[in-house]
Amino acid sequence: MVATADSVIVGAGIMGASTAYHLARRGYGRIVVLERGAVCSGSTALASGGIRHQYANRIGIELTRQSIRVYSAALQRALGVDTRVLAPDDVRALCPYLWTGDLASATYSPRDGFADPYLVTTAIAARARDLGVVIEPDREVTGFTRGRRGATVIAGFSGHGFMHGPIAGRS
Amino acid sequence: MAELVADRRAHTVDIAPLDLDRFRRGETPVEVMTFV
Repeated sequence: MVATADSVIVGAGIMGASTAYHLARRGYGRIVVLERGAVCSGSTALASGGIRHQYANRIGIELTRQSIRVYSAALQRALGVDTRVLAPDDVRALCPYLWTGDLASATYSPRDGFADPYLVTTAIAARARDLGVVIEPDREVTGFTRGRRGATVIAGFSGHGFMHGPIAGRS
Repeated sequence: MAELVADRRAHTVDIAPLDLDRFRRGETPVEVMTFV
């Protein structure tokens, strides 16, 4: 079991795996991911995998646009959010299996799609491991204590002792 | 998020409202939902 690291990441879902992978690509040092179960066994595994632009806040839209850039190398051109308002007849033509009898209108974004959460997360975790990231399964973080210099955390594991590492940054 | 951890600021996408210090400030809401 690794006792120290330059960065400790809690959770090996899509966020933790991706953060570990990108930190490793930057040569951030020793990176450890602590996961209480297995890779992609929590909320990411239960996600529908939908990729959508139709958020009501800026961050949601911009993160989707950036994700599509990452997921699809074919989408090199600048992306614009193409959202259309559809009449019920248009919805029936596009999705004949939908009941539209009580529908006033709908919104549709042709660039939205689907990415399998399990495949994406496990693939990113595998690439992170290739770059030296240590992913520790069955390590549930049970608490944090801020160190004297403020940037160090001590994470306690159920039955596995302690681990030291910065919560963010290196200062 | 890796940029936020390593550089203390994200360059690729502006995710300043997700800054980790927001928890210290007690500001958990990220952005208000805007329905125009």
